[in-house]
Amino acid sequence: MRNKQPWLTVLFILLASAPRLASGAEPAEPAIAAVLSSEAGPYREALAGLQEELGFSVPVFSLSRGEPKIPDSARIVVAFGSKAALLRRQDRLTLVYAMSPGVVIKDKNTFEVHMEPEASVLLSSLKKIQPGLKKLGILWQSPKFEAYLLQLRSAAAELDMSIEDSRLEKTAEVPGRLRILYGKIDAIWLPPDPLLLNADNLTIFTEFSRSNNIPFFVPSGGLLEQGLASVTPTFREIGRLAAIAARSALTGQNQKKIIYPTRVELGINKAAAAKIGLKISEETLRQADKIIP
Amino acid sequence: MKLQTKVLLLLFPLAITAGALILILSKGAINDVLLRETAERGFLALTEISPKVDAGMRTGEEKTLLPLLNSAHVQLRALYVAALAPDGTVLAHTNVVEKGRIYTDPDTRQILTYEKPGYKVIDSKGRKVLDIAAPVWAKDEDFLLSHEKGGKTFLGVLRIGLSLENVLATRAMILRRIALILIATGGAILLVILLFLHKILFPIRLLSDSTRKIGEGRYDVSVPVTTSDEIGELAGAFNKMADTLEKTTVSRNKLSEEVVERKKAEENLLQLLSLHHATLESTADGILVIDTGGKIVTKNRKFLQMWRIPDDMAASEDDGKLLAYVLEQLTNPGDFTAKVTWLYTHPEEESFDAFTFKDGRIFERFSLPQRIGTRIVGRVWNFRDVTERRKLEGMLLQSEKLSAIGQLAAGVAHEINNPLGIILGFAQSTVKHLKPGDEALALPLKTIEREAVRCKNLVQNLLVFSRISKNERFQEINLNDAMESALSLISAQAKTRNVELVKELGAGSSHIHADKTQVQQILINLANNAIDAMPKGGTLLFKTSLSAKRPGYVEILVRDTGDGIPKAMQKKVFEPFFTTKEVGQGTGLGLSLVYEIVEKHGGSIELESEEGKGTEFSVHLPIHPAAPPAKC
Repeated sequence: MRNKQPWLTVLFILLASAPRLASGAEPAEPAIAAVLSSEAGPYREALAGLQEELGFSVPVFSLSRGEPKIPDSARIVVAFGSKAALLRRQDRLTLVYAMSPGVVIKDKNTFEVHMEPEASVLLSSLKKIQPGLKKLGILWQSPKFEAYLLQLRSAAAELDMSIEDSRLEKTAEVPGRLRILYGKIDAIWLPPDPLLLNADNLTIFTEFSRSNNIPFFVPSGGLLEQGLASVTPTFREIGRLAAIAARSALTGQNQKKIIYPTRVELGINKAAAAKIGLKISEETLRQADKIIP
Repeated sequence: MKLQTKVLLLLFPLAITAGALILILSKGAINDVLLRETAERGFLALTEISPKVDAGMRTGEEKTLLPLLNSAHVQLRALYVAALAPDGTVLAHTNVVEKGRIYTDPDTRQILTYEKPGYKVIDSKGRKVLDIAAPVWAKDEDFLLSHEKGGKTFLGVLRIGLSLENVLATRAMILRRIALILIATGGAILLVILLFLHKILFPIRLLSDSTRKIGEGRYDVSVPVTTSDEIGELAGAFNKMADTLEKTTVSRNKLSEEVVERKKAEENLLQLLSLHHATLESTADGILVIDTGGKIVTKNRKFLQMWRIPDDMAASEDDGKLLAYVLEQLTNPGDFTAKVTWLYTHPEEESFDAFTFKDGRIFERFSLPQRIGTRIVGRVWNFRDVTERRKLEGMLLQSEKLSAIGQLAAGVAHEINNPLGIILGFAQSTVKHLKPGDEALALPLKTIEREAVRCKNLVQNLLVFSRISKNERFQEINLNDAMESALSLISAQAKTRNVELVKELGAGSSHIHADKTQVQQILINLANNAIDAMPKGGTLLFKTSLSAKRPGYVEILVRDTGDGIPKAMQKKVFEPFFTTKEVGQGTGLGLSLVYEIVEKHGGSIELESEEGKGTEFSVHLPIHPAAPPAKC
């Protein structure tokens, strides 16, 4: 039930902004515009978070409706989704993009809000769920993930943990790499790596976890049924962080080029925990935002 | 135990057994159906992917096989999906860590022999798993493949493990529902049966209640006849029976009252019988009761004692023998029998008579009929031994006679004493004055003198006889001393008459309360009589002792060996003036004087004599003074 409330909010905002979406412009010279890769729900939720944080509506463009016409008054474009992020733009515009896991844009006027939570937040959250966690296995493929991996290792060291990672060249290597990690790790975390994250691999990870009693942490609350737990920022939070970045850029404040969310949503699959024989404390369960019984 | 309970006890286990049987059979059937259905889903999935795994199975490439296995895995929510090479090597497995392992377990070896899809329930990590397997055959011949089965190239086996948790849960759910249906149905059937039984048993219960009431003595009951079947007929018959019982049976209270009355009557009867028995046994008379047929009904002990009937004869109840024994004792049995016979023919008559026994006893016989209402049912005979009474009556008569004679004699003696004295005086004076030569006068005068003296003696005796009661001096005397003193007076006479005196004086009989002179008079008179009775001499015995026959008395026995007294005279010897001696030899007052003295002392005198052998007088005198006779 908890995850329904944001959707209601999104729906309300969409209804409220429907006339403006139809006209495609903000009446009073907007400085910020939003571009969505599609009309998919997560983007809409992130947009809702953006506008909620900004406190006003921004011109919104959906690539599913055609080429966006960014108004001249706009100085900042907030892109949600890879397609939106990679859209060609005018140089005068500052880009804040999010929900684009495989996209790396190296430009001075560019800021990225990552999907991965801040490394220490992620690991401490995993530790709450699995207090005996010492060795976290991670398979990754996207080069963009390498920087985050460094942060993870650093944070793991502080938490008396270690990261057992393995970078894949091809997706087909997943089974083989899992066999290699088998016996060396206490749990496995699947990062939001677009190259790695597909249905087949998800099945493989899930089955690997369930068959071998190895906790499997999924990269999104939407995938919670396949894994044991998820520690992820909400799309609304990503939208909120994008709004903060856009506002900072608009006012010329210095800020990090890459922003990691620190507010995360904890999802726990109690059934999966029971299947692999993991006991989750009551306190952790109380702190969880989403629970699959 | 009630019938309804019995039916329940019978049906309940039957229903439970039937239900359990149905559940067991259903369980097997459901199991088969569910397993087959589940296996069919597995077969379908395997059939779908089987054609696509040809290349992967040939090459053993995981990347080719795993997506197919995963799709089946997701589709079936399988526990595992695997592709095995003909030797059991895992070519691909949804649990990727299984890849490359070689399964040699029996289950795997068995499925590797499958020529068509099959399934089996196995235990995997403590769970029931439906292990479904389907062989994979090469679509095209490949000269490199050597695993051939029946002319086809065997590439290996696709294996799916499906959890049976849902199947078992479904089975359990179905069984629960069947059980609920069975319980509900069984309960409903039992309810219907119970209702049916209740309906059937209701009139029977009424009958039972009514029967119980009848058992308690309440006959005014009836049960409604609600049906026309056998139970209805039974109810009708019951009502009829209750009605009959009410009319014919005495109530318990009435019966109880009757029982109480009967007990009371019985008690009264017992009381009467006891009274009757006590009366019968306490009477001094002999009682005999006979019925109208002459048979003895009852008799008391006194009767048996009086008739001296031996115990064995009394116990024999042989009336004929008893009668013969009775008649044998009588002096005149003919009269006895005649009287009895006459009374038999005249049952209403009463009778009274007396008869004598050969031993001298005399019985009075009184008889009257025994009646119940007006009906004569027998006769009561009452026998009374009056031997003693008759004897006493005789003695009384004698005593009275003697008393009358004595008084008469005393009067006469008193009157003639003076004239006789004058006659004797003149006669003696005249005789003194006789002179020789007066011989003619001497004989008559001396004769007058002699006879006058004899008369004087007689008169003196009579006067003594009449003065006995006037000169009594009763005191404590020594009987033996009195006897010694008396015998000394007669010893000279006895000696001259050649009579030997024998004394047997008992030590315990020495002291009595009596007039010593009169006692000595008794002894002298008896001794004189005895000596007179032994003219040729003999033995005269004097014996004193405490009486064995009469306690409180002493007995003085005087026995001679004389001629004896004839039986006819024995009754008269105590009468005054009765004598067997020659005229002038006795006055006839000796024994009557003895009798009078003994009477005055409250004693008795008896005589036993046998002619030619002798006579014995037995005198009983009381040791202590006799109570004064009541004054009339």
